[in-house]
Amino acid sequence: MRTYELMLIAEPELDEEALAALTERIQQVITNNGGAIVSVEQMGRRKLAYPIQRRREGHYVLVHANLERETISELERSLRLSEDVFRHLLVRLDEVEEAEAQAPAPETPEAS
Amino acid sequence: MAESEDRVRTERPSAEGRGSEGRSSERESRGSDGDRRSSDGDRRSSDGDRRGSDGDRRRSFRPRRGGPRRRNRVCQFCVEKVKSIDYKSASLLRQYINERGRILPRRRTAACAKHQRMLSRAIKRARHVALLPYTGEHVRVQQG
Repeated sequence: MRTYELMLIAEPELDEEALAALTERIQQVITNNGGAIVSVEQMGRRKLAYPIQRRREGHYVLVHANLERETISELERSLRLSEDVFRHLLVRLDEVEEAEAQAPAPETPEAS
Repeated sequence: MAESEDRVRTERPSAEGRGSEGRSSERESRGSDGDRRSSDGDRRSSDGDRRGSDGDRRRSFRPRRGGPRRRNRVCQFCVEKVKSIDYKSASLLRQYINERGRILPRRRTAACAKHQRMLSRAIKRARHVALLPYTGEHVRVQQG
């Protein structure tokens, strides 16, 4: 099991409710396929650096999750099928980053 | 004196080799490096550029005479002990693309090979999720 970071860009027209429903669906896909959510962050509605099929903006959502290989393929599939999500990026968080995140904590005595 | 001979020998291929490639903008911005690289320029084609300059550096034990001095450059990412470059930090990555959206070469970023790799990967990821442009704004406008 590895930690992955998923960034997805959803339709700009979606309202709060629809966006919440969408992220809920994504989380379901992950948990139903043996994955575990670490964190979900709404990055808000942002302007795209270039238009994607006439869209100039998009809702950015950032999900950190622990995934199995099979979970990934299922997640990717559902993201491609989703009409609300028009772009996504799934990357592995490197061991370097993980070590960095874990290592400094025990070293500092004030962290308790 | 040997000095004047030296200058003539290294400068002539510089004018031919660099000019034919039509990379005028680079030559303007980093004029000082042009001379150093030029001695290799006629033997190797454009992709040998980087290795050529490396080999050159090791071979030349003579102190450089005339012309602007080449300073030792250290990768800023190494100085800051950067372990990874995040594709989400668009404002940082923006410093390493030119106005047409292209990734700056190592001779401009001064990054070591490792960090240049991390940098270019991060930029490419950022482009995919539309945090950075693939092309410059003005380039697109002209296309319609």
